Amino acid sequence: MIPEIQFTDPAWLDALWGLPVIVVLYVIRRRAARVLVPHLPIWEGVLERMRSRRRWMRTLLSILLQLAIFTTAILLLTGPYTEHDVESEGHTVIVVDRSLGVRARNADGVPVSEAVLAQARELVVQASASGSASLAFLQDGVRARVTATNDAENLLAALEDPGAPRGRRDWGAVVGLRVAIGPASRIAVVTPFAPRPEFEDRLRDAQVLVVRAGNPAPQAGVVRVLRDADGAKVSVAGGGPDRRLVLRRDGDAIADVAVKPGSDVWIALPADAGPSPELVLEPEDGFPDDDRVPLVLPERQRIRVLVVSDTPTPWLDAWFKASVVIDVAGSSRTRSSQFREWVDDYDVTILVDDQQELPLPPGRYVLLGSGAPDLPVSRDLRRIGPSEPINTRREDPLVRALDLSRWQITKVARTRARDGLEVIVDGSTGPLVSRGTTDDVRFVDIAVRPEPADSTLPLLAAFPLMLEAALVELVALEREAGPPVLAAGGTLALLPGEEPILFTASGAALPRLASLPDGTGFRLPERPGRYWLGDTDDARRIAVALLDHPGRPAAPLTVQRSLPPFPERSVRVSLRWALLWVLAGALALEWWLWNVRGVD
Amino acid sequence: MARRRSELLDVEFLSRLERLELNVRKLSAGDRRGEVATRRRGVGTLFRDYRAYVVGDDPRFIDWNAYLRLDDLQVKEFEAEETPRLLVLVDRSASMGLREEAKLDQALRLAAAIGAVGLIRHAAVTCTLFPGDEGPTFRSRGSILRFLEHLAATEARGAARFLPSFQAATPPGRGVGIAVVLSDFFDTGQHAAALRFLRHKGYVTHALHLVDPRDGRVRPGELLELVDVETGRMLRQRVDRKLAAAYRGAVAEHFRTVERTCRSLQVFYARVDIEDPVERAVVDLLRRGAMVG
Repeated sequence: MIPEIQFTDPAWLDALWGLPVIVVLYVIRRRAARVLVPHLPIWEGVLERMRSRRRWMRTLLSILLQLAIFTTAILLLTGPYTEHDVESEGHTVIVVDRSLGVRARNADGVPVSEAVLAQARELVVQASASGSASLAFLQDGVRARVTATNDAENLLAALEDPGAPRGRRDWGAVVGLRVAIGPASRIAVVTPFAPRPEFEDRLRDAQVLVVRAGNPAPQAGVVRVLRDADGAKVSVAGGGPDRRLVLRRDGDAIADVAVKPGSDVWIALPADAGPSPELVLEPEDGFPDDDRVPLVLPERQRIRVLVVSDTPTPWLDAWFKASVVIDVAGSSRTRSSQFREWVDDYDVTILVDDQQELPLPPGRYVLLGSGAPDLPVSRDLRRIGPSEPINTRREDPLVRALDLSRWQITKVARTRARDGLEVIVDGSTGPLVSRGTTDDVRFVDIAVRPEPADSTLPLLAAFPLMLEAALVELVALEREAGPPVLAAGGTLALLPGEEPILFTASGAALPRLASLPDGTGFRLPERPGRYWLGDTDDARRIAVALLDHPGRPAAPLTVQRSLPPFPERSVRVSLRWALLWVLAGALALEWWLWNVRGVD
Repeated sequence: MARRRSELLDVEFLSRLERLELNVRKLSAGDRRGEVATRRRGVGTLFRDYRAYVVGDDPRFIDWNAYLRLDDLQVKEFEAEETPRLLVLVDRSASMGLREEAKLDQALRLAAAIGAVGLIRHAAVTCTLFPGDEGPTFRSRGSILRFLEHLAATEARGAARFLPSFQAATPPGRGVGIAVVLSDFFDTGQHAAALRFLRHKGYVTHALHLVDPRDGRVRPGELLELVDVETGRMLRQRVDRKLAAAYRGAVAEHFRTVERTCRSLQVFYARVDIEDPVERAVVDLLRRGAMVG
């Protein structure tokens, strides 16, 4: 019984169609023409003579062949072999830098992450040609993407959608990878940036190849912000041209200062900075992520004002009601003869059209056409007349919005300034707006009474702003520095009662923060911004910025290299088969010479 | 391949041949008491001369009248009357039959002419078609027709075996005379031994070498299956121009070798092209070979 035959590759059966080709070739092949000759020995003689001319060569060849056969046979008995070094195949781990820093752009504005991926693709092809390869991302450690495989397509596919760069460039994890995979494999890290100095030697000792990809443009970024009540000391690291550190409130620049990369700069936080200003390094460079520092300033309490006036002040009253900085309920008014015992209960005392005979009690004052004997400003009430502003410090927050050309003064007492008075607006009859400090008193002086009969000041739109700025300035002297700027990805320590859940300004909750392994706190998110530790109005606010983030761009690598070969290994190759082929060939040729061609 | 007698020898040519005289002096020995006087002294009826008697002479030929007059013994000599013998050896091997037996035709026409001259002059003509034929002997003019029929009935076959054929054609006791060998001499040296044999037997030998120029030609550039027409042996060979030229030279050298062999054996040698007119060739050959006077 014939067993059923099956075929592993039945497609080859189609090759049987070649059988007719053989028949056709047989039919059309050229055949020898048959010729009758009178005497064949003549032909044989001719051929013999022609062959005999080469016979001596054949004889010589035969001798050489016999020598070769003998020598080859002897060599075969000796078991010859050769040793040579060959590049061994092994495993390659390609670590692609996908940390935050590869968002940096090169001089053409293209993110260097593109160059990193392109270089990684080349290395994948090289590595696949010499063994298996794995692919991992350098992103908050070493994250495996593709385990050992010889399929380059699989590796390349993993590079097609790598996700957004984020996280830190953890060189320590790369060193640890060497321990994990053993010394037989090679590790290549594709990154534009040089390892931090403390890792250079460790990487070299671990035989980790760092391959440069991309050439980021020089850039600088904020690495540290130290806050106090009046301003912030900002450390700017990196390189590139000089920049300006701009303080912006709701997009508007309210202060700026020049800064040289690699240095520290102090910038004042004006009283009108608002609760959520932002420090920005301008102009933008190749890595703008670390150029912005959100700040959280403490919420000011509404100011309790004590108005001291012996006459009605309708203009002030109307402004008080409209102002957002005045605690209307906590404010009060009194006569000039009674205010001294109430000064300590209010934040600011506004003296309106009153000349005190005694020194002012300790406190903060706004003087509106008023005066006191120990202040560095004095008025001559006997000389009252028109005046006009002639010199102004336009950048001062008190008068920044004031249009002096529309300020017409009809009645004002001549004013005289003494040492310690900071004149902000000087007029033809003496200082019109000034500020000053004595031992216990800080004041802002406005020489003009807030009455439309005396000047147009109450009618100007900027007057309420000037008053508000004066109040805020006086109160801010004792304000708190506010919460520090925390580093993105850094540690957050919770206060009692707080949950590790951050809320954005829109009220959206972020995923629960991860607890640090050592239990010292929780890991902050990588995205800069302002967050609330709770969804209540009194929840704590924090500011998070990319301050000296481990993933930010570092100095570019200076050397670019391809994959090094695996260590060569010695291979012993036997020559017996080669000699056997030589021997067989020589024997066949010798047999042919003897039996077909003939040898003398 | 049947032939007609007229193809071998027509009447007009025969009449021209009758005017030729067979040179009997070439004959060293024919049949005694023939019809043609020879220069050889012998027993005949035609007085030739006197000579002094020597011991051993037949006393019957002593001229006693002269002895009486001269007192000296003189012997009378007579010219011998002998029948001339012509041996015609025609090669009819397969090589002679190539290309529609062109060479064999030419050889038979030559043999017919030569044999006819011999028969007209009362010679005994033995015609051997070798291989395979010892050959009948024709002795009179009246046997010309039979002689021609004998020739016409032959056809090419087999391998030329010169020496055995010549030995068979010259049995012991048969007189010698003129031997005419017509062949293409395509053999390997055997013809030399055969010619030497004829010379040793005393034949005045003539070798007529039939040459077909096409024997030395071959078209180059082809893979040929060369078949020996006599032995059937085969050789496959791609023939290029160089080999074709070498073969042409080898054939020419073979012809020269045959000629040198003949001359060394004092054999009259003549090369006859198969394209030559047979009448002129016959007359020329007979005169150059001094077979006719």
